[in-house]
Order: sequence, then C-alpha cells, then structure tokens
Amino acid sequence: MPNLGDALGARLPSGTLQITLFIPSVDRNQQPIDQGAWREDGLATLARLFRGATAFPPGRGAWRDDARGGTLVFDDAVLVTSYADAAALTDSALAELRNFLHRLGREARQGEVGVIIGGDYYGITEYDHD
Amino acid sequence: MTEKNDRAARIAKALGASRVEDAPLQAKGPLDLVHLRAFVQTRLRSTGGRPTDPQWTMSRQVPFRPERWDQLVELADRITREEQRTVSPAQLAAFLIEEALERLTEKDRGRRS
Repeated sequence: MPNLGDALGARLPSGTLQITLFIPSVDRNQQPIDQGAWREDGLATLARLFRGATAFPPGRGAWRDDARGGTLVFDDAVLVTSYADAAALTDSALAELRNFLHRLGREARQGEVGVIIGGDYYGITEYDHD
Repeated sequence: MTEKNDRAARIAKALGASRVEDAPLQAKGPLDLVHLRAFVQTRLRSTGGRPTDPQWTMSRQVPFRPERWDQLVELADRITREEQRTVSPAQLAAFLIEEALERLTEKDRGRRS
C-alpha cells in the first residue's frame, strides 16, 4: 500500500488535538451579547493559530454562577472547534489564545469562560486587565 | 506526574485558568455529538468518491452486536443529514475505536508513571 500522504501530495501535519471554545449568547446578567462577532473572532483566532476551525449551531446550556449565590445563567452557546497539530500548541499560541479568552470574559462580562484542550476543560474566572 | 498532567499544568498556567476538569469525549452527551460532527467536517476528505480519512490505509472485519450496529446506522444517518456530508456507520465505528484506544493509551501511561 503506498503512503497516502505522498500519493495525495499532502505535506502538512494532520491535527489530532481537539480544541473547543464556548461562545456564549448572554453575559452573566442574562443580557444578550454580540455572539456573531465573538464567534467570528474565535474562528479567526483558532484558524490563525491552528490552520482551521469550525463553528457549530448553538446548543442550549446553563451555567451556575457560584459567585452570585448559585444563580443559573441560561444561554445558547456556539462551540468553535479545531483539530490542531499538538506541536502548534506553543507558548506564543497559548498566549494568543489567552488573550482571546480573557478579552471574551472581560468585554462580554462572563462569570467564567472555558476551553477544552485535548480532553481537559480549562475554566477562567479572573481576567487580565487591558 | 503523567505526560497528560504535565501538559494540563502548562496549559492552565499559560491561560490563567482557575480550574481544570477532565472532559472525556465518550459517545454519551451533546458535546460528544459535536465531537463526531467535527470529525466528519475536518477529517473526512473526498477525492472524488465517498469522503474518507486519508490516514485509514487498511481495512479489517470487525464484529458487532446487532443493536450496536443499529445505533451506529442511526447516528450516521443523523450526522449525514445534519452536516450534509456523507458518513457511514463503519467510519463512525473506526473513529470511536481510535478515540477509545487513545484514552486507553493515556490511562496506561498514567499507571506506569
């Protein structure tokens, strides 16, 4: 059997590390945010860092805001997923991802922002300043 | 500390995460359906025929319980319809086997370290 990568002329490494961002539709006070703009920003960030990303239609979700007495926040989150080459998860890529996530948390007034990388969920509740 | 834990600690520090939770991707919930959809959109490639993963270079016969095969058929139909990209039950099975083996390998590494 020939090497299919050679046969197809494929030269780039294939992605095996799944990275998923959660783009909320509301802030922690249940007020709508510009989800479309954040979705495009998330897609651009992952595509720039890891060569590609896909956004999926919104799924209904709920989040418990422990800092506010366990109030439940309901929203229709969009998931943005990328299959990355693990070698592309460099310190500078993580720094850019951090910049996006902290900006999302701060500017979209989130109680928590989250990302799944390789089967682990990372929750961020305190954001970097501008 | 395992290789996976080392990686998680490095990522958590780099992102400024306040908590890290295991988020296993097994075929049980909505997130896992998203995972399967992502697989269909990003790994299956068409070169003229039925889309396939270029890394699948060999075929083997695998036995199934009829109800499990029915489950795969139902899932493949649903994803094909919703994603408007053809995926077969056998392709879903191959992907789920890869996922299970990857997790098994990670657990085995954890026990040895």
